[in-house]
Amino acid sequence: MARQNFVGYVISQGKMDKTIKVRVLQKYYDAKVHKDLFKRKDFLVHDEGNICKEGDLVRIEATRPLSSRKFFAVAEIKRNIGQQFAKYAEEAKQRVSEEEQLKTREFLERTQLKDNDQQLVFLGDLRTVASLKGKELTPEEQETVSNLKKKYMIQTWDDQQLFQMEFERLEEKVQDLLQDYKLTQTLQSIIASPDKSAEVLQRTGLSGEEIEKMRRNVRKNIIRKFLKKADDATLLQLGIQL
Amino acid sequence: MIALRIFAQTSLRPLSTGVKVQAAPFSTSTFQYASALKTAKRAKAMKIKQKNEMKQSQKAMRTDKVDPVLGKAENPFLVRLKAELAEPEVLSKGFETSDVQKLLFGAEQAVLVLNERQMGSNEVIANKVKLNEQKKRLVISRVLSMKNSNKVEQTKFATKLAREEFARFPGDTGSSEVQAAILTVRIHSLMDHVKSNPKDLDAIRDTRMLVQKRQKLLRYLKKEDAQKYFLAIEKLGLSDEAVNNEFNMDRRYMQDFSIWPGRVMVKESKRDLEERKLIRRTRKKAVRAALASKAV
Repeated sequence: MARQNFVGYVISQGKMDKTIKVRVLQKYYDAKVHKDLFKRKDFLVHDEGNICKEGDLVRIEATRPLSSRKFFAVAEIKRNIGQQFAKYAEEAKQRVSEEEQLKTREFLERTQLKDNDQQLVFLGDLRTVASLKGKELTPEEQETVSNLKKKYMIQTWDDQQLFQMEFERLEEKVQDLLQDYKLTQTLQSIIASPDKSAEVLQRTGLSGEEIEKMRRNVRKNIIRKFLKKADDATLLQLGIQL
Repeated sequence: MIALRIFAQTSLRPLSTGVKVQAAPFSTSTFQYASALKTAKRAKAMKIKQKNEMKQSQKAMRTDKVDPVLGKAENPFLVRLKAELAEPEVLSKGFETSDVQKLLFGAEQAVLVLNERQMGSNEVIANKVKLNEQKKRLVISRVLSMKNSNKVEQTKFATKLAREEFARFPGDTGSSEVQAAILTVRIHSLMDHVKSNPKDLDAIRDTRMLVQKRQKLLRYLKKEDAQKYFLAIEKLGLSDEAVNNEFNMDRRYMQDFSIWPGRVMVKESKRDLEERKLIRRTRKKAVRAALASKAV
């Protein structure tokens, strides 16, 4: 006669020598609720090598009674989830300890590098930069500049404005707006005369056919772009003044 | 009669206990054999029981139990988090030191430039302005410093750090690890409160709920991605047991992990106390014997 065979999950291990507990699920039809339900039964199972780990999926097979409650033995480990868990736990321990060491070292270095009164030092540096800006530098001053660049990891600050007053910012804004206004005016006048606009468009490298096919708004956009980019000499040739 | 028959049967079987039964020189009686067999059996049972008791007591005395709330003591990740929080230039309300410094420098420059425009360059006035701005700077640094902020701000900062540390990708705020890390930060800050306020039962309840929520999250993660789960629990100082075992923030837990040192939370029975005394005594005896054997 064939031996009894079940498949189940290991739910307890390491508490008894060479013995594990395996949970076997069995489907049955419940007549009361008219539904398939699971019945569970736990078996004590013989595991000669103490190999199985909690979570493993195993096939168990009936043997002669090995003790008063034990009459099954592990026949095969179908999926070694539990053993994989143990492996992951071991890996995690090592990885986390390495990571923590690295991060702690980084943190300590970061804090030790800082000056005691960092706020004042930072302000002092800003002041030196402000005083040196726009001057011809002596060799000593050049060295301080290069040191500061190294300290704050900056390549250059020549094109950047260190500090901008509100009225300066507004002034810039007004200038930009004025330029925009002039450009728009010129654009309107060019668009108004088709000959002129065709002349400008030919300058951008477009053929007559292409220009005719274009819609008005596209034409306008191309001309605006051209006016923005073109230098004064080319504009003078076309008889335009911004 | 039935008993007699059983004894007769047992006496026929070979003895498997390994205990020798002396053969009776004369007038053999099945009763004698049976009693010898009984004692042998009892001796074996006693041996097994003793072994089991030893195992159980060792299990009870285990020191590698992990606190399901606070995790392992001196967890490097949490220690580092605290150290970051205590750094002097950390500011509250999400301000960065360098930004604030730049702004203050700009303010100083603005005053200096305006003064120069109105009154021409004057060294004395400039120095006065600088002194005044210095005072303002000190006040602002005091107002914004994390040391002077409240607990909410501190927890917020720690939460931010924990989130960045556990994120799977920059900007990750919702993965299970991140949620568990944030819960851990909250649990630790709540436990500080619980430790200093033993009568705040609501806080204890909140802590319990947070711990159970974290357990649920981590259990889900174990199902989804076991590798990430083990990394997360290792970093948070928890153990698989602490996550998967049932946890009720009960008196037994508080006693075992001495939340309030010196307070007796669970009154032990006389029998338990005596048993413990006995174990302690036997241990002492064993140690003494071992020392004596070494000395010899």
